[in-house]
Amino acid sequence: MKKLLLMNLLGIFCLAGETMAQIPAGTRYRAATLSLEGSNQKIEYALEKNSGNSVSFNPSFQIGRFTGNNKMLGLGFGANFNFSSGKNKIGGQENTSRYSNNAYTLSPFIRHYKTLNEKWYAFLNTSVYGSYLRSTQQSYDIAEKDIENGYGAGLTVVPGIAYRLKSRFALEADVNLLSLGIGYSHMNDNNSISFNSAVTTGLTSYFSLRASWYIQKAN
Amino acid sequence: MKKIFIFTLMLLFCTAGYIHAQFAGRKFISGAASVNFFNHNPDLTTSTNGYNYNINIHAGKFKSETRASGWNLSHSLIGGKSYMPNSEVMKTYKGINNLGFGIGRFWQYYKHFNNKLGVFAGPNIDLGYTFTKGPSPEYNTPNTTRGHTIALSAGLSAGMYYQLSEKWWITASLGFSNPVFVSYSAFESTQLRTDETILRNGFNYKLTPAISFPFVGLGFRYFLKE
Repeated sequence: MKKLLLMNLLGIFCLAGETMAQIPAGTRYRAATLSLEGSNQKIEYALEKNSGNSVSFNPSFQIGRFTGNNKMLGLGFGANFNFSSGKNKIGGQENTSRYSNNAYTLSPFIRHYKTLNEKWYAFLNTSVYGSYLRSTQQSYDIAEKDIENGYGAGLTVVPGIAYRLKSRFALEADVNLLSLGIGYSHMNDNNSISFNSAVTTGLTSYFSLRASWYIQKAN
Repeated sequence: MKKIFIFTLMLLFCTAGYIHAQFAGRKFISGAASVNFFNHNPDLTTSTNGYNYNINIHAGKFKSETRASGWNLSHSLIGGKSYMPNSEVMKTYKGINNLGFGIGRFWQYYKHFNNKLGVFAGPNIDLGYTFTKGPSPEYNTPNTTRGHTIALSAGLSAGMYYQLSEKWWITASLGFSNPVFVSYSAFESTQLRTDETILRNGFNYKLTPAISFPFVGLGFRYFLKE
């Protein structure tokens, strides 16, 4: 699978032959994406009632500037918010718990572009990231809100494709299937080191989409 | 695997292209169906079997040379003979487990490469209803569950076509995404041991801008007489 994709990517690169249009130095770059998922559930037993809520919300934002032709330096901001709550009602007693699990990520990146033709660009995005992790737990059986802080850091390489819809506006997709990453995180007295290729993590064949703007200086 | 190849082909084709035949005003019906059967017959336990099918019909019209829109109808059914999970006594369940209906609107934009071949992509909206009945693995106790699910989804899909004749096309779906999805479900379970009834209501929503590759699904399209 991976081989095939690689071959295909190679194929795409070859297709370009000589690059037609370069993205000139000085071009500014803005991109943003968002994903949201949530559920709401209610279960009624004969003597007991349970209800639960969960929401996860992931915005991300990137800014950059082309320092050379087809080469960009940038900075990405991302956040992961996960909230959940549960309510249990048995007899006359009601118990509520709330959890949150958030991450805030800052990632400087360098991106190399290959312009395939007027409309299609391929790029390779190399980024380091640092994240601040925070989880809170509030439940009926503990007196105080339990707060844990942690951090994570790592390196990710992912190829992508951009398609220019208008002169300034493009849609981009990261080919997560071919990404490589190494990471370390510390949270709740747990340290973990990860080394992933998307193929082994089962990240599925998703191409996550992003809206982006390439703003060239008027001259 | 194949799908990636085809996607690449699509990318390659996107660079070239010229136009030909007349499509504007033509009406068509597309259909895709899948049918599955299985049968397990082990030595020591009783046999299980199952069947399911899925039918999808598009009825549409070309508004111009490169634009078509229409309605989508779908129907699915799952049935068979299965065991009651988590039960000490071997107990089987026979009949239809799952029945689904859907209706939707679609819009397609075409790129015709030559007289035979082209690709299309566009948005669609679908509303579906599913009725479920039978043993469920939930609650870790033997139970029978009846449920209703209503789902609304909005997404993008893409495909390619090959023209077999004036009237017949063969179509293949290539990639799709369902960035917007909302569903509501209500289930009622009866516990076999205690006769207790459990009600479960769920509401799910999702916004995920991503594309995935499905299995390549083949279908046929027939153009109606004007």
